Amino acid sequence: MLGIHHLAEDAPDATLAPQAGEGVEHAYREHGAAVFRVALRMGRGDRAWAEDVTHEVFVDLFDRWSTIDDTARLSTWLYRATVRRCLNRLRRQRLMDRPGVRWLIRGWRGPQPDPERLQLGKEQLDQLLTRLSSLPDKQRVAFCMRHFDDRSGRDIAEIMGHSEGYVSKLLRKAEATLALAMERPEGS
Amino acid sequence: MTEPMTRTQLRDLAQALDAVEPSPQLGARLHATVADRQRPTGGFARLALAGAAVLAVGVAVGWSLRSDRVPVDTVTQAPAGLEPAALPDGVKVVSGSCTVTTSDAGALSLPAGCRVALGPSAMVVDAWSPTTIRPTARGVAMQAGLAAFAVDSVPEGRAPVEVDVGGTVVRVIGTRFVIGAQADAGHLDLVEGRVELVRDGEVLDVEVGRRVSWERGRPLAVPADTVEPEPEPEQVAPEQTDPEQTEPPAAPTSTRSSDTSVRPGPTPDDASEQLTAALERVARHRRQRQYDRALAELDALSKHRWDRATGAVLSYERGTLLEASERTTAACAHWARHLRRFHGVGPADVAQRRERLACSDR
Repeated sequence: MLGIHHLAEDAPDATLAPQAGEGVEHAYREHGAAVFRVALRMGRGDRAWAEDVTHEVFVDLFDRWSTIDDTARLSTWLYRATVRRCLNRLRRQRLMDRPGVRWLIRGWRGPQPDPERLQLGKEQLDQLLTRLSSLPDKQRVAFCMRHFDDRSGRDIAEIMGHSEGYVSKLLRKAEATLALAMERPEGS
Repeated sequence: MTEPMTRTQLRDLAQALDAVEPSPQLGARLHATVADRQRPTGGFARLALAGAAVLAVGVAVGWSLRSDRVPVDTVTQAPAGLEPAALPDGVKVVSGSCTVTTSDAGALSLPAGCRVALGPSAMVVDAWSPTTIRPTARGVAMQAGLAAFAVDSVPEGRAPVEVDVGGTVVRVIGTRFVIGAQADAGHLDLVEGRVELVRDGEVLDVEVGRRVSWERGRPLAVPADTVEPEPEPEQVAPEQTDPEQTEPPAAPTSTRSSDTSVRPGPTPDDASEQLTAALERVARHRRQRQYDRALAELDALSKHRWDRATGAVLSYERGTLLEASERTTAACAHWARHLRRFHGVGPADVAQRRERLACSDR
């Protein structure tokens, strides 16, 4: 039970808005940092990106507040919403990065600056973060859910919308790539 | 992970990441957004915020996402000598500076940078070039221009919002999506969410990440608007390579076999990643004047099927590489084939390039 119903057909009742506002702000104080960190891992350590995702997730929560019947399960709802929001954003970025699309938008959008990457202050950790960031998006998301968030294969499959077998494959590939990368430090 | 060292590293990384806090401004930003949505006029502001270019339709060749914040002040002006526009009911200007003119038929002419909200259809239109639209009962009809459309969620049971582009109707079902299109010969790229394309009674459910094209007088072209690999008859002589260069040449895009027959393309996700990575390698080889390596990269890519626009880009890359490596005959032959295959698609300077090379018309 996710603690949410299907979306209501109408926008939330206006009288519920103050309650929603307070509820969302309280939820942000409780869970904002956790949501941010999930997005930070999946967004390659890009702080601005992670903050945008966090903002969007809580705005989404505000919009759907009246549909949530069990605030005790809010963290579950927020986790799922964050992962899905991250996947959507990453997918959109992938499309935008396609050479054909890049060619199409040339002249409309200048070169994009490199995102501000997080520096963890330790060379080995920064290198690991770099390796993790270089994994394909789906592999990285599945890997983070498994190894940082202790999610089961079934959970990951359900949240990502894939079969358990496919998730298992994603995890194997990610783990193999990372293990190999850590055996061969960058530049060797 | 089986390596104990890697497990330790992962734990350390998790701890280091857990110590990172979001900036205090994030809380303030959320507070401001929530407060804005709680105001009675929050509907338009909400739509405008959602207007991070959710849907883009245009006649120009080009589209992109914009994620800039929407100014809250509203200015509607008319050009010098004209009366200020009387906007139809439910239409509001939500950009900072916007000159809107209306026609007798109810069409709105939006200059580039103008953003308007269409109340009845819960949609924000953000013009990126001069754009003409006409609000309709179910959405909007776009006549010309390039614009982004943001559509708030369409609750189940309600009629979908529609964008009519020259008779081709984009029926908006989901909440998050991006479309790029041309008017008479348009195309649609769906990034998120779900839309249907309707034309002459034909309905096409568009999947995320796919492109659908249409042309006046022709049926909808299903996503499989692909390009067969082009045989390249010209043989290029190997060039001198830098012995210092240790990078392996032409990483293949498929490991199955070395045959040159047509293989089904990789999945869209894999394909875009492979394509991006390969074209970056092509660019690097080009900068290092290692044209054979760059051409080999393109050869590997050409073994797959690509959509027509991508095919045109790859072909254009090949042509410019042949030119850069001073293989004039091969370049001329290539440009001739390129024009036959991709007429009207991709960069428009191919004819000039042929002229500059003094290619014969043969």
